[in-house]
Amino acid sequence: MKRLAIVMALLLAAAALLPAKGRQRPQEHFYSVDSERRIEGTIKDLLFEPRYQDRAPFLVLVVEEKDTGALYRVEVSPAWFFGRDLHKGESVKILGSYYAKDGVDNLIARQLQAGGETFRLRDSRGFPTWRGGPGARKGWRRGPGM
Amino acid sequence: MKKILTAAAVAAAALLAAALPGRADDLTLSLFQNSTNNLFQSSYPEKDQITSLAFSYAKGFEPFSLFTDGGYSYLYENSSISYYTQQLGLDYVFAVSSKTALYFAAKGAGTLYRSEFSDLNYLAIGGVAALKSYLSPSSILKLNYNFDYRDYRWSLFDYLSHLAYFSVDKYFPSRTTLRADLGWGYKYFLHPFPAPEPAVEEPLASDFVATMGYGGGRGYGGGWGGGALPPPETSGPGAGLQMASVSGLVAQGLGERVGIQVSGLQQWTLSGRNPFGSVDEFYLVENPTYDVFSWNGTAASGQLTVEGPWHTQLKIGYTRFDKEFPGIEAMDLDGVSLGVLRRDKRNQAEARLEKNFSAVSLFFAYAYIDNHSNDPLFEWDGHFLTAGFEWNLNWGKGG
Repeated sequence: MKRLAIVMALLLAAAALLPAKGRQRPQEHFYSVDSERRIEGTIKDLLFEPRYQDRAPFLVLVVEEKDTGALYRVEVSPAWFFGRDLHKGESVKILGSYYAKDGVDNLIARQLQAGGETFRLRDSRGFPTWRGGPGARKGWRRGPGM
Repeated sequence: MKKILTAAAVAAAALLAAALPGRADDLTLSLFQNSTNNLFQSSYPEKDQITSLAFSYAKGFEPFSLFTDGGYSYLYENSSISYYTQQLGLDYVFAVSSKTALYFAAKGAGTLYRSEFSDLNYLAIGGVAALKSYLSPSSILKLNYNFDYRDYRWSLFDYLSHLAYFSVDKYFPSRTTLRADLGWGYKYFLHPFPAPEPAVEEPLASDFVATMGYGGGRGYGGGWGGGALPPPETSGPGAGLQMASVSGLVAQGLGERVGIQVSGLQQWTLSGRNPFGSVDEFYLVENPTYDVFSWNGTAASGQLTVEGPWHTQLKIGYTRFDKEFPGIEAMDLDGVSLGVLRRDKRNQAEARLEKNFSAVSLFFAYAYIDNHSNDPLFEWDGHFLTAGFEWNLNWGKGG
């Protein structure tokens, strides 16, 4: 068992030491609370897109705003870190940081409301609150509880 | 001492990786206070309180991200079961296309118990491979495979397991989501005990049942039933337990603040049976005799989610289980076999309230479980209460 633990530790440390790749990434936009905007609309499409250096691809929604018909590309979270599955046709309300790029309206979502539930994706300063992949971590929810 | 050294090696690897330059991510600290009137979930109820202090840390390194979390749980009345658990891993998400993403993770974990429960200390390695794909914008396919190997101090519990799940869903304009799931799993106990043929007829038992299980004695209350197990030096060859499941879910959004869902599950034991004399569940304390492989039967559940004012969310749920434990004979309170397999019918009601502030979330949860069994030791009910908070700390660049 000791040998197993040491091998495991060495493997993880070696993996963490791997050099970063010099991949080309799109220009990054970071969350700004000064540019927050609320929209309400319907999901028209869903995509997995690279958004940040050193980050997994993000789930991006194409949302048509209910009142204006304007299309927004809404960055939700890394592709795997959003517990609920979203689909085309779902009505959503989104609070997020707005920026325009190449004539496209973009939102970095902080809060998303869909299907009678509100999902907090970032805190009030814009820092991410998502965590956990399919191999979900154990936590206080273990045992009786939802 | 060996355990301390190996835990230190894992922790050192985590610190080394965390100290390397990379994108800073988040640290979450949590503190939960749990209380129950039936810690060992039996007809001999024992009250206890558990304080759990935990951390979770994640940091991105192209192309991986490192995650680690650890926690210490202290039991006030049964302090010898208090335990520390630690997990460390690397994961990787890759977009095959704009509609399909792959996820891989490799992780190691360990749990250390105090004093008399130290036989349950273990180290584990595991892996996850998963795929998520939008078949169409309104339909998602998911595949998930989990591998787990555990090395316990008491080798009776050592195992290797594989679990695979497949699911597909469809969203309709009526705001209805339908989902179907298929599951398959195989668990191989590396050192179970040789045993005589069971007295109970088991229609699903395979050819190798004779190599698994035993029929002796049982332990009541005040512990995890160690008295029900023969001494470790009698360990024998390995044996497997195979399960499959099918489940379905219907979810419906009602207005902007209410969501409901109902789900059902049927699980089968395809081969093998539990190689233990008893299967036990404890509140918040992992028991190696119980997991998804240890039972077959049905589950049906319903859940209501309500968005309340002031950033609160309330979930109310009910689940009904009907479980049979292959290889586990129901016994009377003197430990005499009743000649049938143990079968439990459980009603479980739960409520959970969550309140979010900017970086802190508060949680309150209550559950009531009413368990009926043909084994009188498992004829019990219990109340389970949890309150606590999570605090998210972030630094470095956003994103």
